[in-house]
Amino acid sequence: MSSGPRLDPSAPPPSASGPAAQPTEPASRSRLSWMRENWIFGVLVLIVLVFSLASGNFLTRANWLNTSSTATEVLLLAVGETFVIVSGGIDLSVGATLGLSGMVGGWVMAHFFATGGTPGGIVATIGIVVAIAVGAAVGLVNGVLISRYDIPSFVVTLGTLGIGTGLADLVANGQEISLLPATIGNIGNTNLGGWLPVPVVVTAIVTLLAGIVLAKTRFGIFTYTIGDNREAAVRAGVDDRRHLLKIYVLAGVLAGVAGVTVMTRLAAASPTSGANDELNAIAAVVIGGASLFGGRGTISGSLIGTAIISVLLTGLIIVNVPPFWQLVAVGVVLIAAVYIDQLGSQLRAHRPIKRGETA
Amino acid sequence: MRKSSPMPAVRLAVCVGAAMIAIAGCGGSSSSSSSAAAGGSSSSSASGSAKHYSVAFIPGATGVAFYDSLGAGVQAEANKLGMSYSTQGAADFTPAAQTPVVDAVCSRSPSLLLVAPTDPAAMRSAIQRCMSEGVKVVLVDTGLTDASGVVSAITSNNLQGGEAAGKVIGQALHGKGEVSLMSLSPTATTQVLRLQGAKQELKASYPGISVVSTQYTQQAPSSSETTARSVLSAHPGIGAFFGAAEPNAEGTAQALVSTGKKAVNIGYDASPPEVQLLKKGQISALVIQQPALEGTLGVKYGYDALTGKTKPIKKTVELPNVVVTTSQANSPTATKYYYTGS
Repeated sequence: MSSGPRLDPSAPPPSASGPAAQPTEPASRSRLSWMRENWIFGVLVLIVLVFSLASGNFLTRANWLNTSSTATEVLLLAVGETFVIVSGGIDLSVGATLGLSGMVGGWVMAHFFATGGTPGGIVATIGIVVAIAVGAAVGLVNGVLISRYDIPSFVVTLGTLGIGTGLADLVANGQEISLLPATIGNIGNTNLGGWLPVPVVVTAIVTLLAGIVLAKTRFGIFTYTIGDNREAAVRAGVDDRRHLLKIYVLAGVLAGVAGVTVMTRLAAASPTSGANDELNAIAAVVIGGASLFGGRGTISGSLIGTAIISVLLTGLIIVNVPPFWQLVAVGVVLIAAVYIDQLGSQLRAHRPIKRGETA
Repeated sequence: MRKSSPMPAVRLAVCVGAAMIAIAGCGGSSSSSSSAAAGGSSSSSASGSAKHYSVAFIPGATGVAFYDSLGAGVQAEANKLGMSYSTQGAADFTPAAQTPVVDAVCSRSPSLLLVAPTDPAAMRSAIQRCMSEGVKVVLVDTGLTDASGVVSAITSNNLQGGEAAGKVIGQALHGKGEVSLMSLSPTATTQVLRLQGAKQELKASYPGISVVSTQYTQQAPSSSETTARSVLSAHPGIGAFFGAAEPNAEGTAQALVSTGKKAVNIGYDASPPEVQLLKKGQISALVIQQPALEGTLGVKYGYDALTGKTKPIKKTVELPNVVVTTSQANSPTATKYYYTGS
């Protein structure tokens, strides 16, 4: 990005994180993000349109099923990441947590499964609960270190990213676990009404609930307030530490759910699952209009961001873009999407927004 | 099957700590034999050792069934010859990750080092340093452009493996149809040669078959699944998939299940999950290397070099791959080739 003054309406210099006060973005936030979403939604529609014109195989049931189940992996992480980023933090560990929770859940299931006797449905339930609990545990570790010990979220979650990746390998010596009850594979491959894979339905419900929580509840307001101006939030009586702890646990839980959905898709648990997914999740959140400085972002924006990433992933193969160009195309589209989005919000505001100016 | 107990985890955790002081022998003691699938080796070397020798094994990456099997072969042969065994490795298949491991292992001066270099040029200097300290080196799996000074270089014939896959596809499709290729990397020689072999064979013997898609995936099997489903959308009439790496065929198998489509699915290697899918028929055939044999041969040649019996040593060995189809999956002639895994 050039240093042109129009590009980033909110960017204060990336100074010390944490309690340092940041310029507040007042009440026009919701209006602004609504406009942003319209533009970014336009970008998604444009991409879909181009792919549809380029290949008759794009707008098909098969591709919908593929793209939507692929998207669940990133979307669940992106939903948790939205809360984290809106609160002014970052969680780099979610991809590793996905892999770890799947492996531990899978390990428990394989254990029960090997001894036999226990019905597959019960084994699967235990495995799923364990996987989500592992995600929550990682989130708790992150949350405690960040909120109680004031270690920057970037450092803490970079650390747990490494720890989680290593532990996921340790579970089965770096190997996959595939001796799982058939129920697991059945969950991933059941399409309700022929169009809605179970993981997609689960992810949709989670996303909807998260959207309501962030936009309509006190929990959401606190999240925005802490991200906007943590000191002000504290003065207003918000228990910032407790709230941040909850947010990181939430991100961990959702990573655990994502670990389960990936496992059901593959009917196996792999320690490599989720590798680098945190980058896609963060990209999805930022494409969706969130500010990495906190205080701004929406679940619907992150949903659209995830959709753009997932549609590119499958669409570029379907329209036969050569593999090396796929990577180039994804990079170009991502940058362009955010640029168009910013251009849009400025046009709607009828005036250029200057750096440092509050919108 | 070693797993199902937290022991490996504990052992490894302890070793991680120990490695910070000095890379300790983390392969476990040579007395704990972990069900080595000796791939039909016939070692005739004299047992009983006058002098105590040690062998260290460095795989290309940790957590890969292929290298685990290779290590098991190394360990079995080392036990037989009365050599102590240790192994160390990096999680990433890169020379940047492997170089410090090679340096650390060699600083403990093992008698013999078996290593799978992660880069044919970049790993030369670290291995050179090792040899100049008097360590005998045998290259396994992958090689070096300049292999001077090593006792032996043992590898699988990847081109032949690819050709074998091409042949299976050609026969299964009766010489007509569309094929999709998949691998992890457009540059790694093993991956390149396998796809090249398949393409050559199809072009030469089955002109009615066209390769309509070549894709590169991430290591996670879910990446191969998404890719295979996208390829199925792009080419609904596709007749066969060939994946050059373990997760490719696994992901493809799952893609075929979830889309309910039928296609020939050829995989490479024989990790436990792949074998399971082969038995279910979700993978049609596997092209299998002989990692345990690479390991036993490597130790045998290394031992010969240490004891001055240079005559039987072959400087380069290219082991052929075997093809196992679903219908043969349970026969003992096939199962002996399966890799040891978790």
